[in-house]
Amino acid sequence: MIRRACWLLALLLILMAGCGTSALGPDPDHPVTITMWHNYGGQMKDTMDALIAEFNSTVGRERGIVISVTSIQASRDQNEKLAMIARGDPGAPAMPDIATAYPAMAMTLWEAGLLAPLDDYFSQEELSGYVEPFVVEGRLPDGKLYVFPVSKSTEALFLNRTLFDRFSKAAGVTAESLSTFEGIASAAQEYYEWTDALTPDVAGDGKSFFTADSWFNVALVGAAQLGEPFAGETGLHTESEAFRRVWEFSVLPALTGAFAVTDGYSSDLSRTGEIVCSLGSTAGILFYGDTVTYPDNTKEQVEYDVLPYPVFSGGRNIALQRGAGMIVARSTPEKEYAAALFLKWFTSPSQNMRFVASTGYLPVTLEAFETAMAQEIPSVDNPSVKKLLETAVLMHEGYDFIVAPQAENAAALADAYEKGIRQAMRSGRQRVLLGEDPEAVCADLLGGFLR
Amino acid sequence: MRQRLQKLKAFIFEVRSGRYGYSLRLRLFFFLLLFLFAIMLALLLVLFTTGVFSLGLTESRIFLENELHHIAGHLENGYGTLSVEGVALSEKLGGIIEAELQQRNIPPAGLVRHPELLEAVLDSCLDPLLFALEKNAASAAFCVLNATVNPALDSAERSRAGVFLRNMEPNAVYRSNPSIHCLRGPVAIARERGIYMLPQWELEFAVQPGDFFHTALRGAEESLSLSRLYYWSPKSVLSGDYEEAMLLSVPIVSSDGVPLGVCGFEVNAMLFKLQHAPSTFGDGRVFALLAPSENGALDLDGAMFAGSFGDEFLSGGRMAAVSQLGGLTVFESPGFRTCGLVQNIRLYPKGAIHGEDWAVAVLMPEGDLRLYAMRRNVPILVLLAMLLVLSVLAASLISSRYLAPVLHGIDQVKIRGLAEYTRTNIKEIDDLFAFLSERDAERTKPEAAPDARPRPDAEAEAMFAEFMQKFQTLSRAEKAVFNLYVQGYDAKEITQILCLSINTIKTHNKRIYYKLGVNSRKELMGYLRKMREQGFDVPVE
Repeated sequence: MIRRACWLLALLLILMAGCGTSALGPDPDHPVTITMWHNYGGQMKDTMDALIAEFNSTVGRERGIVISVTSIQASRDQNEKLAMIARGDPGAPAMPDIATAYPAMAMTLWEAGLLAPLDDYFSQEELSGYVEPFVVEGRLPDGKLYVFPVSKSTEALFLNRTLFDRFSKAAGVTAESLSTFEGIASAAQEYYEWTDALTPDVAGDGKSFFTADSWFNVALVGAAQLGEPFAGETGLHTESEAFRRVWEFSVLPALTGAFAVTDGYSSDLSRTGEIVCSLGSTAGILFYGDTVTYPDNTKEQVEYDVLPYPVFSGGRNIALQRGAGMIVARSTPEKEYAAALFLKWFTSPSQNMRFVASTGYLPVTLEAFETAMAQEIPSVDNPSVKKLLETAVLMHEGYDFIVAPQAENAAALADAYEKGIRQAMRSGRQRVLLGEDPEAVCADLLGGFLR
Repeated sequence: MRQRLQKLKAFIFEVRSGRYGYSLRLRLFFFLLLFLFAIMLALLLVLFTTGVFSLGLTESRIFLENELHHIAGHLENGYGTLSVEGVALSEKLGGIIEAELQQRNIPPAGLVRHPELLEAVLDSCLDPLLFALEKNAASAAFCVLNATVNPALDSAERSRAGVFLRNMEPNAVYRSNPSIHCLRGPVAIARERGIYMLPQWELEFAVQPGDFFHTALRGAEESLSLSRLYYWSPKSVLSGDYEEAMLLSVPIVSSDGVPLGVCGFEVNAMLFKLQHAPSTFGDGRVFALLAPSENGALDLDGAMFAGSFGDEFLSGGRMAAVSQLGGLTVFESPGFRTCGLVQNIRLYPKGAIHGEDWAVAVLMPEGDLRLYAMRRNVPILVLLAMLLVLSVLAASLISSRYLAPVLHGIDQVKIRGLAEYTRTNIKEIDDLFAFLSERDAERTKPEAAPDARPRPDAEAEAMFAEFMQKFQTLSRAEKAVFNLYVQGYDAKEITQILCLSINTIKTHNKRIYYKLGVNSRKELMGYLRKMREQGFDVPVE
């Protein structure tokens, strides 16, 4: 009898002890709040908000995780603040638990010991379900995964088909000519002259045709297409023929006014009808909209085409693989686990395709890329996104992809090149307006840049 | 197992049929159980009356009260500050616009007739707007002029020139370098300052009757100070935008009373959430609302929501109080019930022309509240259940242990007979057995031969001699009691004869037995018999 009672008591004690234990991760009764910074603005924010709300009210609620977005800003603004955190600048904001970041930025944070490796939270089988180059890109020098692929993109040529058709009809330039960089430069020059001729009484009021969000990316990919690396560990390979061709393509039309130079995004110029086509991230598709607003507030409904990335004549089909991933801050095991769980949920094929279909990003899982994408494209509502996804599939099949350099000084190098070339374009344009020969100015600027 | 069940069934049947009575152990067990249940019942009553079982509701109420107090105070302070800053911004912009027009010899009322000046006017307003946005906890600052850049357009009636600057980081984690973008306004003046366009950018505002612009501008017709003219619009989405937000609109009025436009701040859904989301409370979905209020009902369509989860369950419509639960109000909205507390809040000063009632509420879904309250009681109920089980086990154990010597004694008697039973050290049981033994001896006495006498031996003689010595140690009182016992009186009769209490008699008995070294009445009777046989006279006084 006594023995039975002892057994029963022991059983009860075990049961009581069991009540106090929990599964791995946070306690649902005491949820952890995961702060997040991301750069999905505008319409993308709605999709992101909806997905986060869904996570919080389902898996998050069940597992005691609350995702709280505390900042939505452009990549460059966010990078600036993350850099401040990495440097430990006075007044730097607190490190968010999850943030979107490019590998170069992640490298800076990793060097400061601020990132948590994510390999421990994903099995090999789970990781093998993601597009391999995307995962490889997220591994930092210690071989561990720090930048989790969430929203990948490539670059493409965005063409305002409505404006271009008007020009094409008058000047006979075809969209096919825009498949090469040389064709774009030529079309741009013709467009400038055509628009200048529309107002014969005003001299030199031609309009720009083209711009690029990142001239560094144009140079990086262009040089790769021509078979020469653009940048190495020691700096830019400025002595190459490829560098000269890239420079001439970028600067010369800018000096004549055929290319626009702006510090903002090319989509800003597209929406005011100041350019006809531009090179930018596929993730920027929603920023182009479907109307052009002119300075007198008249509006024109327009249609955009998304064309594959142009190639230098004689070059290989190469484009840039880009896009930020999500980094997870080194913190408590509960928070790191919670952040990883969110990433796992967010990139599962069903969630991933919902995000892709409304934002223009590329899927990151093999299942979504190879199966779900083909099924999803016909049902995409936004015609521009639909065109974009079709082009992305074409490029995926016909292009090789390179990633931006991730060396320690890569970000600084890219920044220096971008500032330098824009400065050269602006100052050169002033010189040309004052009567200097564009080609001579271009060569002079190159010399000055190399010095 | 089956055999045991059958045995138990047979036992129950026999007990119920009256063949067996209830065993002592079973009686004791049931008695203890009854006692136990009475205690448990009393304990439950105490727990109920002291409100232990409504602890979850009480905790929820206290938490919601604290959150409401904190959030309402924060809201009133924050919105009050923005209102004051909005009025100051309006005064500043009014002066700037008037000065711009004066430079060109244009009266304030002439603004609408000079669309070519609008970009220059807005350019001069941009820096004060930027400064105001950087200085205040708002998600945007704006200025809308009562004029359009192209009056010839069909949409000119609904189009107004202006600038809308949005801080993409409204919680201002880094105030000195905010991420500000342009939602509305001329591209050129924004680019000059390195401000990029938002995807939803448009050149002008699309306004309509009854919106933030017209409502605030209509107030400018009143000859009141600006602090009595501002307007907080319920949550809405600016035409062509995605952000749900409340707008503070203050009319911009020239020195001669001409309404030039409106300006103000935006508090968008994200900023509201970041500033006013209640703390977490278990896994309950606690949220705060700032909503237009009418007759105690909240207008969800115009309400701002703050919580660490989506507001998709608030489908709009009105939320009205329907009942009370644990000191909290139960609200019902289409397809949803919530519990919580609500408090009116003042967004306008006395004498303001816009006096809409607003209320702040801190709520949680009714299901979450009940679940929390139930979970809070689970440990208490588990402990009570465990206590009950342990007590039943203890009752069983005690009843078994307590009766073990009695049952053992009975078993011994059954096996060895009354003559050889061992003492149980339980007085009543030992007395009973002694009594039965004596009775047994008396019954068997006639069966012995009349002349059969025990042969005296040395040992018996020695014991008798010792007894006689001990007999001399009895006190007079003890000898008196002893004599009466010898004469056949029982204890009750002795109390009457000697006028002593029964307890005194019992004490004498104990002492007589102790002094004489006898353990039973039977032994004592044996010695007396021997005294008589040997001619000893038992002293009686």
